[in-house]
Amino acid sequence: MNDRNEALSGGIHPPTPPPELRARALSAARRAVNRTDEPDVWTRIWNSRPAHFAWAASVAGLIFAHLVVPNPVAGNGPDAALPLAAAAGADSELAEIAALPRLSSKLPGFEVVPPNAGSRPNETPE
Amino acid sequence: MEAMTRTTDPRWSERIEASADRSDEIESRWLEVFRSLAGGRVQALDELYDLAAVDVYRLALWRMGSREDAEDVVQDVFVRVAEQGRRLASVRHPKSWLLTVAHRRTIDLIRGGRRHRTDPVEEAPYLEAIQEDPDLKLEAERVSRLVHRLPAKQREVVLLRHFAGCTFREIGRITGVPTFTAASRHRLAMARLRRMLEAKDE
Repeated sequence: MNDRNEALSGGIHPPTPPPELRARALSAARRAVNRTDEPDVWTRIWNSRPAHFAWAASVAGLIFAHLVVPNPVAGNGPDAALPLAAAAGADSELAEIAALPRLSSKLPGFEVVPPNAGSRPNETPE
Repeated sequence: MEAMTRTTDPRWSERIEASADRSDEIESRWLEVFRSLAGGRVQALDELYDLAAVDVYRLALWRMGSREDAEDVVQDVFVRVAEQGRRLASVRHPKSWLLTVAHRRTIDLIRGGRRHRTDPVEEAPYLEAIQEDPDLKLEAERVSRLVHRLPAKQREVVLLRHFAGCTFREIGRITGVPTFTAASRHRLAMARLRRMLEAKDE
């Protein structure tokens, strides 16, 4: 306590902590420091060398796969628009069966209506 | 307790100026200790105990009215400090911060109902005589009883102001109230104590 408090208290003051509390409080605090020194699971993963290797290997694998494995949509591989059976060079009848008739504009009975036609194809003009 | 109201003494202003210089010095020591702890120097805990334990213990005792609870609070506060690690470097007002931790811990214990049931005046007097003087002892006991009759919030402000050397701004920061409220609580507490002392004297 400083002079000011001595003067204020006039010979009386609040009790001080018991001496044995020092060792107890400090040892508990030191234990807490040691606890916090141990890294948590995320820090350990972040700092782990095998995890770094795994990450690097997976990135390298992805890049390799991207370069080597052909992309069918981009046109390097078989035509994605064709059914699998036709692409595989199977017989043409099988390819025709496998084709999706409702989506093919070349099939008979399928008429493509221009968007500004103004009337439905089956309507008869008066 | 008469001395608590002795503020018109001409030597008083000199003493306050001297204590202001010392409080700057103490503040820088606090900051140094916190930085050491943030830097991982565990030995700084000892220095922090020397600086802080008395105030933390007294604050807890005056809030809780039990020596055992006050000891628990001191221990918990030091554990909390140790757990902060590097974050301690960013604390700008270490003393206020530490007393805030102590204040909140007492609130947690009170709300959680984990208090030791004791008679605060009999078993944990709020005030003690500095010397082995029977008159002072009687005076300490008498004032302890009066202090016990104050609301806990006012009691805490009196302690922080007169025995921990805090400013009203610091008290506001510690107790989580505006500076004006802290000053108002102090004024009410002192007026009440004065009234009680006069009533006892008559």
